[in-house]
Amino acid sequence: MNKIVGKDWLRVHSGDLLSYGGLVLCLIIFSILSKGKLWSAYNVGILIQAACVYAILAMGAVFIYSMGYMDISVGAQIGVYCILCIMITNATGSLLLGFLAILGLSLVCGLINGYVSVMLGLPSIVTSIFLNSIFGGVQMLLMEWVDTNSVGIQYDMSFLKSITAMVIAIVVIAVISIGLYKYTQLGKYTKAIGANETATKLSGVSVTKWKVFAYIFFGVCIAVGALFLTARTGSAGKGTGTGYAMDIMVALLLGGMPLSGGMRSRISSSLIGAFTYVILSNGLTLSGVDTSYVYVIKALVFLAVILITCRKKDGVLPR
Amino acid sequence: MKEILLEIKKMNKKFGPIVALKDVDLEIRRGQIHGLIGENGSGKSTITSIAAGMQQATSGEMFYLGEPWKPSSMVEAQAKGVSMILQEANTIPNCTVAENLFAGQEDHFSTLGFVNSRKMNRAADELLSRFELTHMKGRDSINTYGFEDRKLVELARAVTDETQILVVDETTTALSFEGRKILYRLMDRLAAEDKAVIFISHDLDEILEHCTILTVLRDGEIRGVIQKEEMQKEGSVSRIRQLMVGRDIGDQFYRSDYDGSHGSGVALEYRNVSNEKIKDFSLKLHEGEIVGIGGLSGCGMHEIGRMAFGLEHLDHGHVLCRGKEVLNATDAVRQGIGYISKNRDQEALILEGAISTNIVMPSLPDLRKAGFVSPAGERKLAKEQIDLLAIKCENGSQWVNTLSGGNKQKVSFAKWMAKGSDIIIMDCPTRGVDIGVKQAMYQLIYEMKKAGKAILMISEEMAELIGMADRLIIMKDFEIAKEFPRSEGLSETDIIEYMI
Amino acid sequence: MKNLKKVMALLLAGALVLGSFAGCGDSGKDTGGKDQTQDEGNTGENEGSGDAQEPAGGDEAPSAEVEKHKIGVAHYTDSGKGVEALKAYCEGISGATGCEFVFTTLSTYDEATNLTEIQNLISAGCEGIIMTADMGTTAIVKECEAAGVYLAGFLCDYLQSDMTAHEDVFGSEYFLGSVADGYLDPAPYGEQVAEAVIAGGYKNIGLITFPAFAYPKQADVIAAFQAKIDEYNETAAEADKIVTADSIELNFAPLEDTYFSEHPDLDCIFSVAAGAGMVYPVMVANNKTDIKLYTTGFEGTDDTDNFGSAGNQCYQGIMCSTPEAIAYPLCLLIDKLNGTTYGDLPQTEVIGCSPLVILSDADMEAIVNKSIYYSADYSKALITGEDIVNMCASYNPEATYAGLVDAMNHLGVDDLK
Repeated sequence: MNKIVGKDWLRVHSGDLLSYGGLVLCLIIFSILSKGKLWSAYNVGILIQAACVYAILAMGAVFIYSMGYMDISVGAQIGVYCILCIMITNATGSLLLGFLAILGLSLVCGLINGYVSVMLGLPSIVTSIFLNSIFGGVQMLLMEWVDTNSVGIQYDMSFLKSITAMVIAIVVIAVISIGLYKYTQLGKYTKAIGANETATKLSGVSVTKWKVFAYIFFGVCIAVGALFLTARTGSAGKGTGTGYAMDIMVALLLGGMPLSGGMRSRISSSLIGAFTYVILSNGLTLSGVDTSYVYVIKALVFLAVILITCRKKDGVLPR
Repeated sequence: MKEILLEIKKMNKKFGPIVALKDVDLEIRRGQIHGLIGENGSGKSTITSIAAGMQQATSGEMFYLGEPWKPSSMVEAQAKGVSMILQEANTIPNCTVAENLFAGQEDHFSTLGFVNSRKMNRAADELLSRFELTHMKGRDSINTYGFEDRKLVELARAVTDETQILVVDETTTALSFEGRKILYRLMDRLAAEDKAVIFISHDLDEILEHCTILTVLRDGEIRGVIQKEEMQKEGSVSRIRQLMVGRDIGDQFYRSDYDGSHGSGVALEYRNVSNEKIKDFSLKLHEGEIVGIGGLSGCGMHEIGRMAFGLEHLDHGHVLCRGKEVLNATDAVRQGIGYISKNRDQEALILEGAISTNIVMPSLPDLRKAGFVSPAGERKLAKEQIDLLAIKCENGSQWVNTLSGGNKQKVSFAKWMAKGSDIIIMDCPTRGVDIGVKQAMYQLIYEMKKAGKAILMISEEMAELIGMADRLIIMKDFEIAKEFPRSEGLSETDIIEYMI
Repeated sequence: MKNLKKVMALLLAGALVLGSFAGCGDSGKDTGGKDQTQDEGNTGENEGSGDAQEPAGGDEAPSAEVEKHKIGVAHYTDSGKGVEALKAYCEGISGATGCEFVFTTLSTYDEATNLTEIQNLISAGCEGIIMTADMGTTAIVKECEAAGVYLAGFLCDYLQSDMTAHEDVFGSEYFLGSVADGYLDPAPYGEQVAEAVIAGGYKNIGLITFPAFAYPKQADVIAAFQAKIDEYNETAAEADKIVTADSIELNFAPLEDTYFSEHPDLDCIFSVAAGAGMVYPVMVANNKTDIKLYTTGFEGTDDTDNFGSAGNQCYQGIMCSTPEAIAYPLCLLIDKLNGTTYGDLPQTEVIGCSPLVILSDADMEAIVNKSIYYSADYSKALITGEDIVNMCASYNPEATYAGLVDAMNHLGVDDLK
């Protein structure tokens, strides 16, 4: 009897084990190759800095990916938010105002992504492509308007840039995300929608309403992420945020998130994945790997992790 | 007794450690319509698939027309006279009917490597008319025909002049009344021509009516062989059921009472409802009442069920739950309506999800305390239902796709029991469910009625509706044809004439 | 299926391990340093900056006792002839200068990624960093200040920082200056191209740049070009006048096909924006390679095969800078790390270097045969490792800043010939 329980537990939790395993493997390999430099105080600090924004974004993204959807517009959104935050803070002298402005904007985008796709009967990925184009254009226009290559913030953001602040932010968002995911309807419904949207609807769940909530929470995470991104670099330009949508997807996959969502999705994927992603880059540089090999290795790792953590029956593609 | 066409001796089939067939002996004689009956997993399909060349036995012998028989493929078996038609779709899409009928035999119609389509189409038309399928033409694309017609094309393809034994494996579930009649006539004709038919079906009544001899299987072994005279005796049905299930399930399968009374309150009402398909449908469902809706598939009964759950758009009329309009699925659930869809795996259940997740899904808003849902509360609610309905599983976190058909259906029921819905609309509630579990479900449904719940039972199984409904409504062409109150003398023949 | 997963996990571990070892084995990429020692691991190995490195028994021993330093090079791209030449050059000078080089690739669009890369370099033990992009520089400089790491620029004019964050960047003790990608004021190239165009007899010229907010200096190049053309037109006969189309901006995307239908009579295009990537392919796709192309940036592929009188003769003018210019930031870094600086060291500034301006077949031949840029052959370098050591104030008391700057101005085509 115990044997059967053991096998079942393993099957259900194998995804978890494998994704933690990937992180542990990276840690071990790079600790050795970098001769311990991976663990220097300085390095741990920069790892947290690099992972902070990705982790916050990924935690919000879990709700979207659980439903089997994707959001392409994250990068463009975050770029515009950073620029706007800087511009508004410089103009008004108040960081709070800057943050509230981008928070409001991100909520609107969440609504658009959630509602408009349902209204128009389009898959959410289409509305996010549309938003991506709009925001990309806005970003370019904003930079042309200020007529420089980048804008720098004049507010002193050194507190937000500190490791303490970033750790606190990660922890707070994590607590909220886990709370929402495991203990409220939002998490349960998003997973159910990803597993079988029709059956969920036929259980009396208002799918549209909860989709919108998921996108709204994600929007909040984007705004917070933009805040910390601005704090880190103090400037933003025409290319800020490019590619983040892909980075988040890679991070989630490295953390073991199934692309088609469903019941095997976890918040832990986002944290594990964000750190694995960052450690991969960091570790390769510390180990002195030649830059031409870096791409190949990253691609191999990515492929291997997908093969290991993806279930074929789920189907790999999101909707 | 007539000559033996096919003899199977001590056949065994193992799939790894699983024993599918154990020392099975079977005789198929000329002129027989030989029924094979048993629950899911009893081995009936396994035997015939081995005989028709789809797989090989682990041990045992077969003799066909006196010679040792071990076909290596279905094509070989069919060429030698043993053909089989299945439950799943087996026609080639995007080809014409003629191309399907003569797939693999194109050289009969070709000269110098070119296929003479006109010749093939003419031959196809001739073949189709022999099978009474005159509404189809050889040159038509098979895509234009629905599932049933395609099945019939398969039939025409399978039965050639060389055919000695035709295996019909659960095919009748896919066919409408008309289609079944065509099949029965074909079976009778084959029997009259001294050929044989092996007929596999879940429907006991159908088997009893059309077979000349019946073999019952359970757990891979032969449990009984029943001759025609025995079949016509009293109580044959329950005896056969007993052989199938392995225990005495008693006389009571459906309800034992004939009391069609119910509460006075109207739980659910359709008031002059119509849309592009349904024409002016009205119905009042009372508390403590079981209303059955039956008819040919395509008569509109499935849409009626969906309407009550707010899933279909209404052009005119209203669906009212205790006087309040039902707007959509969320609204319906909130008002206490539950819906068990006939597409169990796609619509009613999240297969890749835990049993408890499925069970508590409609109840989550009720489990909320200050916005949060306690996992312990979920587990408790799920466990209650698992115990109540005796769902066979390790625990609530097992995934639904590991359950058998009957247990899956129990989970569908459990959803609404947990929610406490007092109006349940169930569409084909016992489809694909084993007899033992069926009986338990009928009991459950009866208890629900006694507890004052209102039940709308939509089903394609006549026996089930006659056995369970307080009122039986027959639909035809998207409107109500006739209503029958519950009575002891009600039989299928009374009803059938209103269905067609 | 479980077995398959185990196999994959092992393969993953294997790939990671192999990949890192592959990086260590770079000595295989010897580029024929006949007068240089080759140690392992300037680009690959992972020893700390304090470890002694034996010369692998070549002819050359460092002239003076040079100190060991670990220098990070953060390049904005990781492929192309420029990168290969740079890597070969760094490998070549590594022994003599005592510098171990660690490479990383920056992003051209995201500040945070750049900051992370620089942080990674610092964490890897780099004492000095040479950077080729000006994005998020303020934050990067702050990071270097906090870590005590020195920063210098290469292939970049740091105009953005100069204009918007001068105090933070140029005012910092840890930022040592930069050498631009060619002339600091690129206008002379515009004049040279104008002269070539006039001489070539082209009459209908198209003009292309990148957006002004990103590359303000490109407009100056066009202006210089235009001035020279106007000067010519004043004295030219009507039939000989040169017509220039209005300058258009490429939004970091290739040229639109419609450009050719809008300007049907073009016989020449001057693209200050990178032509090899953004203009030439579109010309090929639209069968317009009979139009002559003057541009910046040198890939060493199609542009060599089709230059001047070769191939489809499309390319007529190319400008790029050569990797030896990295000597400028390197010398500054070495001196700062060693503690001795030039007597005549001025305020932190950005200087230019003489670029390789290719306007004739003879020019191209010189590049192909004699430059390290094209061949990635260290033996062709104009400035060797010893030269660098001799230009450092901390190793050569006679060395001056003026001398360094002068060396930077002798990296052109004529210096090759």
